Amino acid sequence: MIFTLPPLVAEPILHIGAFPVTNAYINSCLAVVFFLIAGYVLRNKTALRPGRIQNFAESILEFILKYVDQVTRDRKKSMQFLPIVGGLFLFILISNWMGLIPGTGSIGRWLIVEGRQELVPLFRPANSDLNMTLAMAVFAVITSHILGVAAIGFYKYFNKFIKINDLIHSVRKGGMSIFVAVVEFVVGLIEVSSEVAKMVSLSLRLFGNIFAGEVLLTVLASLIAYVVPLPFMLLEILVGLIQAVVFAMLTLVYLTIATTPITSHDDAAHGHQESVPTPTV
Amino acid sequence: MDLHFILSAAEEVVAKQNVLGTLGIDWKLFLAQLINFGIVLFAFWKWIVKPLGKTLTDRQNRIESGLKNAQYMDDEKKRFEEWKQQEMKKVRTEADHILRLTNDTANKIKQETIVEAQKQATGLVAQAKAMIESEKVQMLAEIKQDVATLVVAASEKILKSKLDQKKDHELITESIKDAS
Repeated sequence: MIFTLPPLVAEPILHIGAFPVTNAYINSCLAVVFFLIAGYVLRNKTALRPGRIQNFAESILEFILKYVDQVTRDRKKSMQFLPIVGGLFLFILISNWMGLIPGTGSIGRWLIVEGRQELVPLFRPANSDLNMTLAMAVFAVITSHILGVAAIGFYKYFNKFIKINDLIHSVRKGGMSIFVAVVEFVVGLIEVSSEVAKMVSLSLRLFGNIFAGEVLLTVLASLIAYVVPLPFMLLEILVGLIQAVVFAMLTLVYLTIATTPITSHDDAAHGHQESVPTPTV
Repeated sequence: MDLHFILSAAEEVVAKQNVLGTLGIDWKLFLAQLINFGIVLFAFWKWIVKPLGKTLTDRQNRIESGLKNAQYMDDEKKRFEEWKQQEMKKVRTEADHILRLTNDTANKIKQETIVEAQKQATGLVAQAKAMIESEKVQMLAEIKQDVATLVVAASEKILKSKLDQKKDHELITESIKDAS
């Protein structure tokens, strides 16, 4: 059997109107179905004395909550971020691991691609499609901004990037503080571009790792189909977990930093400095 | 091959001309994936985190209040034990006091009884002695009377003829004096 390397772009299996249903999108929909079923099963499991399923779900939630607490150091904030961070972590994890189920990449449909008839796999890991990872990254960064504005107010949040407030205060003080404020103003502008970089880095990191794993497994399977790919599959299980942790942790750090008020130099000089949590990633 | 497929294939070829197209970024797929992720987040938040989070918080509160109650009960028990010990001590002291008082009273009564008995005994002895004395005196008087009568009778019998009236009377008086 001839194996073809998975292309960079997810392949459309069929079209619904003008919408291309890609193999990665099918996997993403399967993950959604999994979550809907899990939600349906767990929606009424609220007994104080938990059964097996509830206990399992609670243990996962508590495990995630423990890590969220380590970053936020505030249970209220942790509970606020848990749906976002936990959702991201579990969705990425399930999607990544679903890509290792036998059939992914091997069951397909014969289609004509660039003039040649090829077996296009029906399933492809959802995160090996940049649309998926970018959608999550954009969501994570935009949510961090929305929550940041909600937590500390629009003007203060705006001043994290465009430091007009510092500039005005420095003009009153005069001297060296004007120079510092101008430098900080420029740094603030660079911060704006770093927000875009966050989305790009988050999405490309996840996409790159999962796509590379898929290529690695395909290459190995084409060389020696039996036994040899097994350690690499184990490695992919770990990569899937680690990438889910990294994505979720970074999102958590963005959320925490965005919702933490940053004190200006004036406030710090007057002793109003608040403790900013030091994220551990 | 249907028309849609050909059209979309053509669109894909055009899209691949730019960088985003090369990476496979398609706004329709992007939106679809975003919606998918949104559904996942909604299901996770609404059906998993919300109820289970509430359950976890409730349970934690219950455990905390249980622990607080247990601590309160422990403190109460400790306080009760202390109170019990104090009360027991107080009761013991009171019982000792009552016992001592009772003992003292009993001893006092005993002493009084003994004294009273002794007094009564002394009185009875004195009374008996007095009675004995008076009986003795009476008996002696009676004996004197009898002896005198006997002496007179005997003397009369012995000296009936030899003694005169005067001698007789002197003899009688002397005999009475000797007898007393």
